[in-house]
Amino acid sequence: MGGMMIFVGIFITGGVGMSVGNYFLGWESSFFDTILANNINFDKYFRAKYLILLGTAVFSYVVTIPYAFYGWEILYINTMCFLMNIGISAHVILIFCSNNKKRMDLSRGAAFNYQGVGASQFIIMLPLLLMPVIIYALFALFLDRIPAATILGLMGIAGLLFHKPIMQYVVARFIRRKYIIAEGFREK
Amino acid sequence: MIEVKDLSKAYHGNVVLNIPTLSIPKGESFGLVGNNGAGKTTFFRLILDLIRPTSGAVSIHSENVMGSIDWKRFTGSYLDEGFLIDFLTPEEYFEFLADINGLSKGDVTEFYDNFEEFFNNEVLGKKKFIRELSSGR
Repeated sequence: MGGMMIFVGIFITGGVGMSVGNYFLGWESSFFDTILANNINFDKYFRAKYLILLGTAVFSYVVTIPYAFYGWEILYINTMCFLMNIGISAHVILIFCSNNKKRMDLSRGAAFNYQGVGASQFIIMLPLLLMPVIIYALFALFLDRIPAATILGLMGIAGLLFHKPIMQYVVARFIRRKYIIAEGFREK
Repeated sequence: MIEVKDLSKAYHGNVVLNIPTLSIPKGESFGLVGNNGAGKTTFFRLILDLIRPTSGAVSIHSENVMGSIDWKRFTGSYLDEGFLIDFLTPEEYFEFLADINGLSKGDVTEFYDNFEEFFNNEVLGKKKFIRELSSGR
């Protein structure tokens, strides 16, 4: 029961970010050379992407606050999941989005357009959705529901505290991989 | 000033480009002519740090393009469609580039004046996406 609530909580505030996050670079594949050759500060570039993840999470969190009508416990669990999403999942998404090097052409029609979509894009979603549930379930073995959910929230806060070094790592990893990504994006 | 030293690029052991030394002085218009596959695009991509050289280095104003981004402040480039954001209109694209380079909207409008004849009332204010423009080929 508790695990299900965690799963829903993670999905509510993180679902959008998880489904768009993998394509952060893929969306820009048709003009990726412009991004590399122009005077774009990659720290700002990834900061903007983090703000998208943060924005969608905050929006979904605010919109679902009325769930408190069904009990404060739900709101508390949602809050903890929200912290987990912006503190851990968002950073993991940014680290792994530079693994995606499949070209995607936004100018083609959207219907039945699966370019750039592969199994790896879905596989990355699974751990992001399931890890919090597993962590919660482990702690729920010997803790009550609320303290077990609090652990997730604390992990999220820890992630937020390390935001700066994590973002530095994200950018450094991207700069290391940019040639590989650009080459993949050039293949039509 | 662009300087090239011992630049080479090989794909799977096939050397596609090998320039022992080349120097393009400041203020010079430099043309590069060659057959298909001669390595022109490869060379320009190496100058812009879009691909990793197998050996050697390119420097712009004595700054190695690999590992520094300062040269991007004064380097404009266009190689192929990969430099166009084709779902924008030309104005949106120019404004995007101006924004990146710290220019205001007024600067862009002023810039348009130099190209009035070239644009020939077909580019600006037409609400046409770049992908809908004729490529001229």
